[in-house]
This record gives sequence, structure tokens and C-alpha cells, in this order.
Amino acid sequence: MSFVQPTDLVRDDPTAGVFRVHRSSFTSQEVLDLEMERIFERCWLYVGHESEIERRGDFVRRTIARRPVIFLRGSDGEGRVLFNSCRHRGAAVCRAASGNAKAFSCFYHGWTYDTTGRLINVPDESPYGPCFDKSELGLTSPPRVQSYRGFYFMSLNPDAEELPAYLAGAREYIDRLADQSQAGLRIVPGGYRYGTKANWKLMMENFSDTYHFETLHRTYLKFLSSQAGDNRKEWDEYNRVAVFGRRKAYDLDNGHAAIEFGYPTNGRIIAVWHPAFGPAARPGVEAARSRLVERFGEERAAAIADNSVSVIVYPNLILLDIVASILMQVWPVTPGYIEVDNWAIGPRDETPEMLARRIEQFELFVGSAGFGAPDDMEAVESCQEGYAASAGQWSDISRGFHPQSSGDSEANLRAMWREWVANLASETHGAHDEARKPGVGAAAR
Amino acid sequence: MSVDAATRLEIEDFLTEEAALLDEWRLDEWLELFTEDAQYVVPSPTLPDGQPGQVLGLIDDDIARLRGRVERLTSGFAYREAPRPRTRRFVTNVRVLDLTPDEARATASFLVCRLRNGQIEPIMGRYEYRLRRKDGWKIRYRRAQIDLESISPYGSVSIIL
Ligand code: FES
Ligand SMILES: [Fe+2]
Repeated sequence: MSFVQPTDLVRDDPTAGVFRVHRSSFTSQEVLDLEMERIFERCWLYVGHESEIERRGDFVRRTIARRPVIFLRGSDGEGRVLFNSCRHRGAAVCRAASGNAKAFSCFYHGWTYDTTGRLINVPDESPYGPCFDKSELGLTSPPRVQSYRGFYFMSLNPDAEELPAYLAGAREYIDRLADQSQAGLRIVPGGYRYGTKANWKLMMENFSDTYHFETLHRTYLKFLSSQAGDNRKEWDEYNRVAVFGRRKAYDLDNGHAAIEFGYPTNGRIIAVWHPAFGPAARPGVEAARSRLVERFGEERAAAIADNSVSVIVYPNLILLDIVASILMQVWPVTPGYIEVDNWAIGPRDETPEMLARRIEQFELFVGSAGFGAPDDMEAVESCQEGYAASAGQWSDISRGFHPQSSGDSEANLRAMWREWVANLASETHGAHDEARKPGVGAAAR
Repeated sequence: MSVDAATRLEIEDFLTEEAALLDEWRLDEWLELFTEDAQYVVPSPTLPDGQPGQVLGLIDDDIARLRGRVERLTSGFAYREAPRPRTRRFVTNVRVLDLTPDEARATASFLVCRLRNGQIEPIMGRYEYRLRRKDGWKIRYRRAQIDLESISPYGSVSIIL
């Protein structure tokens, strides 16, 4: 046994300002088994965005918490999640990655289901006898499926609280994203998955860790600076001040957490122009910002437009709303290996010019061949390898924790870890029970 | 214009020499093969036929970004590829599909093996080139479409394919 109690895996001492995580949390199969049972089978998990299932019959195949599912819009217009396993012997009834279907006909013996999951045809039905009831043999759904502002989630836990309550403070950031356009958002086609040899929590931390930016991503910053032309000095100074001065971490409750950069990092396609976008893009970006001011007033528009954020939607979704808006979902496979889904999301009504800039900025930084993400992968894989040498040791997440400390804080990461340890320690469902440690809820510590 | 054997061989030689520059990590010399209006594209594994700039891809570099890419890779601070990667690439099945006095369009199959940490990471796929005749050949368009369904288990495509 590599650990005695889950609560032994996290040291959370606000008085001393010490927050540490035992490294077996990243390497132990027992921990992963417990995570599957007490986190992935209890929490709400992101499934997909409404724009992926626009028309009736549109479907996307996904694997959520190791369950094969079909995310689809039924002939009745309802967004749904169905388990992709035939009620007969279990074969996949949907074998395409995505598409539009009138029905799903199982390739094995031909049982056929409509897009609401009802079993509508069984070849040569008579040998089953009089008790055979097709109405009881439809495709099943996860116990809970709900959407918030177009983002669909499912939970394997029938007693899960309502989705909006679960999302707690993370709703504010989903709202800011959804409010970027009156016409709604859409997932940009072409999202893809990559693998990384690291624990899933290392990757969750990494996407919300701003501390590494200037060291690990110096080649990205250098390239951006080289693109800034005449504005180079101004942008370098802007970034320098911002990196050290304006970031704020937030505990959004239920394990959700945010870091706000407090400025528009390297521009924001919505709606702060950066020299790297090129002069031709400038009027469009500025017009988009004016529209936000018209709709929401200056203060709210500024929150939507000017502030880059990284949000952990617990347990495994990251909303990286920076120069472009990016969704990433991290799936544990083994303690030391993950698969990461990547999507770009933006206004449905944006001009081809702005869409091209959005795609370009995604590819430049977070893409698998970008100037940033490959080095993130190298860093988390290197940490994971390091644990082999020192699994008995602790990782430090104490930045900004001491009562007398000021400036940069990792309070967002601590919020995630506190929920994690509370979940693991809780035998029954209840993310909000006594297992939570003191200090949770206090903002930004 | 019909493709004569000599031209086909010339293009095949060009691709072989290009592969050698990449395997030998002579990236600055490799950059010199490109025209000023060049484009280097690697589409998303989920949408291999997608139009760059309209759907998400892995790479859509103009010459400025390609120079930035090489500068980054050779800086010693692109940590995924520092120390410099070992690669071996095989370029075969070269077909010259269109030929005009100034331009050629060619396709080829590739297998690029990257070796790191005791493991071999093979990436296979199809190249498409638009070459411009200009004291020999120059690359105006280079597209490397990978056959992988996802970037797993390697994660990154941070070498030049
Ligand atoms: S398993 Fe689907 S019809 Fe038999
Ligand atoms: Fe990073």
C-alpha cells in the first residue's frame, strides 16, 4: 500500500504557509483507481458543445470516464448522451467518429435504434417469444445529462447536484466566454487529441500554472516579440509588468479555480488587437470590442474582452481563454499516461479573417506543433520521470500561501487539490461534506 | 506537360537531399530551399483534408513563422527538441502529378522516425509539394499529412516532418 489515507497525501498548513502533495498521488495505481471511483464516476464531466450537434441526427462519438458514448441531437431536437453499446451483446452501434444519422443499426446482428435511443427494429424477432419487449431495450443514458449555456456535461452519479450549482464560480467564466458573441459559440472543426506520458493532475496544474511562462516559454515570447515590429518595446514592457504584477488566483468552489492575468496577454482575438495579428485585422478586432461595450457597458465588456484567464473546471476540463479560446480535457489512462482533447472555440459569426487569426494563434501556442505546448509536454513528462526517482517525496505548491506573502499565488492549484483530497477521502458522494479541510472557500490563499 | 524520367528523377533527388538536411539538423540550409511566399502545412489528424486557416491544423507557417520555428528549434530552448532530436526519414513513392515549365506538383510517402528516451516514435504520411523552378527547385508549398488518428502517444509534432 503506497498510502494509508487519502488525507495523508496533501499537507495543507495555512499557518506555516506550506502546501505539499505527496508524489505517490501521481504514480500510484491505487490512487488512480480511487480517482476513477470517487472523482470521475461522481463529478459532472464535460461531454461536448451544442455546436457539434447542430442538426437533428448530428452525432459525435466520445469516451467519457472510460465509457463509450454517443453525444447527439435526437429526432425530437433534444441534446442527448447515449451509451454506445448494443443492448443485445454489446457491440458499438455507432462506429463513425461523427456525422448525421437517422438511426443506428448495429453491425453485428442488426438491432436498430433511433436517435432518441429507442430500439426500433430487431431482425427476425419471433424466436424471442412473447416476453420480449423492445421498449425496455433502448440504448441507455448516463444517469445525469445537463447543459449550461451550450456546454453539455454528464454525470455517472444519479445523486449529483444540479449542474449550475456544481459549476459554482466557474459559471462566471463560461458566461464571459458565451457572451463573446450574440450569435453563440461554435467549436472550430479539426480539434484533436494527443497523448502525454504524465499524470493527469500534472497536466491540469500545468495549464493553470502561470509561474512557468517566462522560463519554459521563452522561445514563444521571443517569437511574439519579433512579430511586434515597431511596437516591440511597448509590448515587451507591457508583458513584463503584467507577468509580475497583475495575476490573481481564485478559488471558485467545488475544485474549480481560475487565474486571471489582469490584462489581455498577447492580444485577444476578442477583442484586443496585437501587432502579431497584422494591421489588416485591427479594425475588425476593435469593432468587436465596441459591440461588446454596446451590449454590456464598459465594465462587463472589459471583463469579457481584456482579461486573459485560465480556468480549471474540475475535475478535468481547462478553459484557456487567452489570445484564442481553448478547451482542453485531460483523461487519465494509467497513472503515468494521459490523453488530452483539444478544441478551439469562438463566435459563430466571426469573419473568415478573424477565424484565420484565431486558428493561427491556437496553432502557434497550444497546438501539438506549436511554440509552447511541446515544451509543456516535455516539462510534465520530466516531472513524471522524476517521481520514479523520488516517489517518497513531496511536491511544493506553496507559492503565495503564507499569510505574509504577496504577489503571485498558486491558490487556484490549491483549490483543485483540496477538492481532490476531499473527494478521495469521501466514501459516499458529497463533495461538500466534513472531509473538506479548513481554509477552503477563503479566496485566493 | 508530360513528365519525363529525367525531371522525375531530379525531383526525387531534390526530396532526398531535403530529407538529408532535416536528418542532419541543418535547418538553416533547409530554410534556404523555400521561396519567400512559401507555405508549410501539417493538417489536423482529424481533418486531413481541411483548409488551413478555415479549420484547426497543426502547422500553417508562412516564411516568417517558418524562420521563427527554425530559430526556436535551434536555440537550445525548445526543450522538447533539446538536445537536438535524432531522426531518420524515408521518402518514397514519389509521383510528379503536374508539370509546367515553372512549377511541379509532386507527392511522396514518408516515414519519419524520431528516437528519444530509448523509444522510437514513427510518424508516417504523405507529402505534397509545389516546387518552383528557380536555379534548380525551390519549395513554394509543402504539406505533410500524417496518417495518425491522434498525436498519441507522442503528444507533439515538434520536429520538422
Ligand atoms: S450485438 Fe448488436 S445486434 Fe447483436
Ligand atoms: Fe505552458
